[in-house]
Amino acid sequence: MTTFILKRILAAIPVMVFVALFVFSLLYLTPGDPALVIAGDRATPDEIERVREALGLGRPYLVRFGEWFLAIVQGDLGRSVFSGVPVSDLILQRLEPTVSLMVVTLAIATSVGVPMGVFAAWRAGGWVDRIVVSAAVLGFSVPVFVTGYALAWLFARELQWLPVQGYQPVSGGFVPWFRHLLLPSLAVSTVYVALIARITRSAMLEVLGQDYIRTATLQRACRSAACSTSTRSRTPPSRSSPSSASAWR
Amino acid sequence: MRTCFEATFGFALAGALLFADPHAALADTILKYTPSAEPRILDPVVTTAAVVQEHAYLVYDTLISLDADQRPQPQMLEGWSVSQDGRAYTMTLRDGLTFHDGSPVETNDVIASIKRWSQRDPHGVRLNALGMRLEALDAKRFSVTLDQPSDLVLTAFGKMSASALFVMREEEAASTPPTESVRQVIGSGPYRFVSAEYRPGARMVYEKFAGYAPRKEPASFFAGGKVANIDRIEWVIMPDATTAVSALEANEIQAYESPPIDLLPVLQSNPELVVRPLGNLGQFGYLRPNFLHPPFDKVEARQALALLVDQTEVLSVAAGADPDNWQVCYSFFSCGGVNENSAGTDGLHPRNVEKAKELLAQAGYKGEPVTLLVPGDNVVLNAFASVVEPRLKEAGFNVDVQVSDFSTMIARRSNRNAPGSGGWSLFPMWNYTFEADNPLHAAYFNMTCNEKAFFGWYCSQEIEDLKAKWVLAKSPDERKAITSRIQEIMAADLPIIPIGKFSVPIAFSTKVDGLLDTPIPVFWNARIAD
Repeated sequence: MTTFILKRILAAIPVMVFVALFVFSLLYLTPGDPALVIAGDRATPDEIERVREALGLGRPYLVRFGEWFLAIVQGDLGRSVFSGVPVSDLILQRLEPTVSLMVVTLAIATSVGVPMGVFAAWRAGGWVDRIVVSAAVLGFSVPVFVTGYALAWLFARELQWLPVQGYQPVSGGFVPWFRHLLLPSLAVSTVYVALIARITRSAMLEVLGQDYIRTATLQRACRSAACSTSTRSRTPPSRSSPSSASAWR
Repeated sequence: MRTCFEATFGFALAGALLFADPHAALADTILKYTPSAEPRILDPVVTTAAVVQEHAYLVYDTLISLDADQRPQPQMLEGWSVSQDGRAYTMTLRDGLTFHDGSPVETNDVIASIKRWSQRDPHGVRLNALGMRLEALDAKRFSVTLDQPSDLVLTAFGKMSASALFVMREEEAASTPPTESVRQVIGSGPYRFVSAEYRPGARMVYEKFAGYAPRKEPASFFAGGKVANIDRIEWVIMPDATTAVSALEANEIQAYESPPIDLLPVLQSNPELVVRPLGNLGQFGYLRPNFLHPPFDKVEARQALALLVDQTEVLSVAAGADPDNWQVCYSFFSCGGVNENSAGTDGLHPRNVEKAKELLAQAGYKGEPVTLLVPGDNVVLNAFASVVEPRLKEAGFNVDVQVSDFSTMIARRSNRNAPGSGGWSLFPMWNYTFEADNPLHAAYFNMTCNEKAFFGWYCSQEIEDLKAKWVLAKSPDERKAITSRIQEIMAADLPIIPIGKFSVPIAFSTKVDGLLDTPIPVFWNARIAD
């Protein structure tokens, strides 16, 4: 067991190095120049070059990568070249809103998507099923930002039930926190609701078609007052016997 | 009874926790404002971005400020005296100036700030070239001495922006190179920056500084008393314009700096909002050609370009159909400023496509690609380019439009290669008009004949020599004569194609009162009506 764990850890190291190289290299591939952003759009070429030198942006790639990697493995994420704020602080600042949005979105997606899929499968082929499938297609097709604008227009501007924007930390009260999260969570969750509903519907349909479900359904029907001995005599034999298996084919 | 009391107390506590507003008890009046962009850097010396100057005006103070008549007035200074030969200025600080950490503002702080600022700012660099020497005479008085007489000191110390001379603590100013941002934002302005609540990309908070001693005079432009009536100002960063407009209409913010032109009718129809430009200085748009590569290395091609730009057409798209928001103007100096001058520009208008074609032929144009850089995320510049592009094609230019975000465009314009090899031929830009009020200010006046010239690399040693003479001019008339000559040379060489003057309105709640008509929004003097 120990050997297995050690092997896995050792195997992860080259992956981490590759990912680090890839992520660091993305900085070179993405457009834009931090020195230009810092110096401002009216800076002269000379000023921009001085900012670039001050930030060390002109140093060789491997030198910069080496310094960055060594700092990362020691837990030092450095400081933002723009604000000077430690990167770890910047991440922590965004952690609560991100987790909050994720939790509420998942809660909405599962609590809406699963029942939708179940209902659709239960009433497969009917108008409920068609509505759910159509809604799922819409959920996939409509861009999230369009859904967001529509929700903001309706609930924030027209009905004035919810705020347009902003985030309130949970320490400021549960209700303000939830009110600010509701609209963005609803917008983001539409795709997931659609996805979960479709998957649930498909899974449910597959399960509902299983023999044991049919058996359970029939057995429940036979216990009702309308079920007569003639119905009981026409009940197919159990699948457990070889003869019954051939009868079902 | 006890159980009932405990239950009641519990419900009250729960209610307080559930519905608590952490800011309710902190301040009496709060203004929530969305600026045109997020200030990524908080140091006005390091960057020339206008939104950073807005931030700086809240937390820092200036020695001299311009009043509504554009005259320099003492701000942190009690006054100044000038030696008879015009070379030496003795300046005295006002009483009661205090930094946000409680320390007094002294001449060492001022001198360190001037030294740091003068290494970056064009006016400061000129002062250094004039041999500027700074000496602290005591804790409140200091002297500024030049090798030659010039009133550039007052112009430079009192300039409005990019970059204004903001006074910082000696601790920051002396130890931080001008290419690095100061780590602490501690000024002596009417508001203090609440760094504990700073959320890059989301929020910036300023609280009224109780220790600020405003001048007694009424506020006038950037001068006069900076009375902070609003207790707390929150900058709510919202990159999405539609969300910002919705938030303004829902009163979640009370002011929005630059609403998009297409949404102005929505805001203007709201009786609870005011939509208007602040003041009449506005912005000045232009096209910048690349002098290194064809076709715009030929003056005939630049003249053709000028004849294709109809300022009315461009401005009505960029600044809206309301003609009160823009003004046709062919001056290379700020329209409405003391140096406004259209001399030599009669041949640039009206639009004449046939003449443009003739000029293009005279330039020997062979169909080389004209790479037009377009910042798709900048509404005004995008509008400039979108109107100009079909006009260029109409005259026979082979236009290659390269759309990118603004930052990428800024990066690419420093590329000196040919347009087909990563370079460019033309890009749109704008400046605040007050940045074009003298030949030292706006970037396009940088015409040095080396790689330090402004992108586009137009070179005019004659203009550079005239700029040096302008600095030493002894009278307004002498200065006017120099700027007129500069205008003539620029009209002949066309280092930029002027697009005219325009104003982007700010939208704010009717409850916000007293906003000053400054080109950069400042919030002293403003108040929130009950």
